Amino acid sequence: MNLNDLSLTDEQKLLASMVRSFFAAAAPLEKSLAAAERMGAYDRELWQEMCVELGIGGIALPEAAGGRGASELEESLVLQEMGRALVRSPYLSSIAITAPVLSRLGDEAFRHEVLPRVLDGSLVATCAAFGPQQLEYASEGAGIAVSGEQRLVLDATVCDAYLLFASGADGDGVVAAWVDADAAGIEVRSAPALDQLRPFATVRFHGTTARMLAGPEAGAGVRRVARSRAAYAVGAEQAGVAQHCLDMAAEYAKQRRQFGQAIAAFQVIQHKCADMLVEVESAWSAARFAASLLAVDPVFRNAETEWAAWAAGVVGGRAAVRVAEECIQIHGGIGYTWEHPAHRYLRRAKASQLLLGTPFDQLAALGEMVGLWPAAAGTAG
Amino acid sequence: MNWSALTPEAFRRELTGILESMARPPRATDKAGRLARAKYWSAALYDREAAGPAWPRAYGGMDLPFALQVAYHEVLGQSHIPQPPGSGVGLAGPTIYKHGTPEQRERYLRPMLRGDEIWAQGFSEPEAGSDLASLRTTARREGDRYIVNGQKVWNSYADQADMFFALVRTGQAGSKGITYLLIEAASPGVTVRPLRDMTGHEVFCEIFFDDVVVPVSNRVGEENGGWSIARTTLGHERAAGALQQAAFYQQLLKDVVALASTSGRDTGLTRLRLAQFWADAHVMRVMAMRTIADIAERGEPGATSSVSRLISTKFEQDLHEFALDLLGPDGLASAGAADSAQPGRWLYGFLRTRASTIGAGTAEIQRNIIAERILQMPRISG
Repeated sequence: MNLNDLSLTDEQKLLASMVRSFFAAAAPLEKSLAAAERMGAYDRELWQEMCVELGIGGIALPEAAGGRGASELEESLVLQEMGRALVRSPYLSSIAITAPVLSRLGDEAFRHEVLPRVLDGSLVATCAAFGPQQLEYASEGAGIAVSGEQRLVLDATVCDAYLLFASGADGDGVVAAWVDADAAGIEVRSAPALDQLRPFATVRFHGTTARMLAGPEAGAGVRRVARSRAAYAVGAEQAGVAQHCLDMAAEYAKQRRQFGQAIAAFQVIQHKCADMLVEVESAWSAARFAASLLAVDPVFRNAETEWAAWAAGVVGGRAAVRVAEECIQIHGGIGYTWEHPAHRYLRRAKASQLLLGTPFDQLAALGEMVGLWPAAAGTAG
Repeated sequence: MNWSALTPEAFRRELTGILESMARPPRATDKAGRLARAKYWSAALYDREAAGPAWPRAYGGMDLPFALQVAYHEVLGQSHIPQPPGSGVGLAGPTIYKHGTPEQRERYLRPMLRGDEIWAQGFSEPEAGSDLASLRTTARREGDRYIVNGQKVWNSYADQADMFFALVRTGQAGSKGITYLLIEAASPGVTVRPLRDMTGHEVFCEIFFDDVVVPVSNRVGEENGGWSIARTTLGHERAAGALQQAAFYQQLLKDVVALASTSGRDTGLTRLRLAQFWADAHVMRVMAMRTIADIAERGEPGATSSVSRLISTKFEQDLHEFALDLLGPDGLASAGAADSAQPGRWLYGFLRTRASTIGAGTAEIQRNIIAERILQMPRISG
């Protein structure tokens, strides 16, 4: 890999700064919270601006596929800024996870029809990349039908389509399948969860017509790629969550006065912030490293790319949670109020961490991927 | 040899070739033997113009561009060649080069780099550790001489040194009254006593100065101007070795992974710890790469170089303790028993790494510095 990819170019710094300003102006936290309160909705105007005008829809996909022709090096910056701003949008599920997976699936006609609409935001898709794979499929005429209950589907209440994984009868391989959200036999059951800015639902399918995009020999691999994409994207976002929590905490400490001085003058507070900086730099290092590998290996051909993505998820998750917790601590009582944004960041950090699986399972999978011990039978990413 | 004109690949080949052509003395078993071996390698490298990657060519060094410095540390790191002996090359050398008189440079730099003269640092005192500026060793000016009285502590190599580089008080209290002196170890009035640390080894010393005469010509920089020149370095040397250090930690982890397997303590819990250590080692490696990329691009490291040390010191403490934990009661035997080579290593490391977060700047002072310089918080100390 090119070491220089780990540093930001001037263009990348400009991009990050532009995106940051955009979100600060167009997506203040109150707006995201208000939208999310309405059945997990998102601000459609903002979404269009993001995808089209700001141009971050498909930033990492080649222009031939309808993307912007940049790479994960730019995308990771965008994700980081979304973490900073806690933007409520379907970007993670539709653009960061589904689009790159979709760009290499199905026939050309399907891709031509669907992918540009995903990238310009007019079609919001979600990929069942989280939680255990639970659905089954059966032949239905020339196609297939999907049944069962899939948990942890992000943006299920607002999406236009699903990218699902379903196993055949008798465990006969796993397929990747595309389902329109308005197809018959779909039941979406959402419930309030820890991070209301990242809603998910349990979706029941009753013999729902689906379009097979990857056959039984290939679907498991596609699911694995989708999950690895999710790990990297979440990791990059967590780096932004952590950064913002550090910024909030340091800013507060410099302003808050007790015992005749700013609490930033107290050594324990300074040390906490220094330790938070260690976490922030760790998260960004892992995310940037994964992005640099993905930029040249977007389909996870190399084992290194896969473990780098999961390392980003693991390191980013732990960092964001710790920094968000410490941020509340440094704010004292006010950090514990509903009104203060600190808890929103903790919710985002913890929920995103756990969406990837328990930290124990994530670490166990990572250890296996990097060969710390032999792989157990039947484990996949 | 025009090293700087080579591509990184050609540089590595050339340097590796030189190292492979050198005779390898056997491993040393005692302190004197280790010094002799380190001096051998220093001289061998110097004579082949392969010493001092960041050191000026005028004084025997290679003066490599940063990218080649990184390559140098990689090649040397993999070769298991010992570091140059003494504390001079990384610290006194740069100070003398940048702030010394022409006479001082001529007299001291080449023998220091070649390892012909061994240098020990005389900074810390029993009452001046983190608060080094409060040091009390005095140097009373008498014409063209200083008379030095006081005590230094934690001086590595002082019992083998030919020269000390020391900070002494010549003026007011605090950092503005400190002078940088080069003191001959054989001077009358110098007493060096080995210091036994908690591992039981004696790698450090104390130095006592009783009316030691030091010519004024051995002062580096201005009188009372010693503080600001004391920590001079040449060309981001520590950053240049960062990748190699990260590689060292990854190897250390591999050894612990093997230990988990052979010790029969390969459980879900230990695997989780190992995976976490792996993630930490990965982060250290990426941070080293980022530091190097930042220096290559902007000439300055970013925050990564400050935070890396906090991570690595904690890492080596936790990893050695984890290894000892894996061994359990079997790990308690010190080196000496026939089958204790492994336990001895981790036990020794467990004890030795307690110093990791103390020496060369405590972790607490490091955090103060990070908070002050990077997060712009009010200055507390250090």
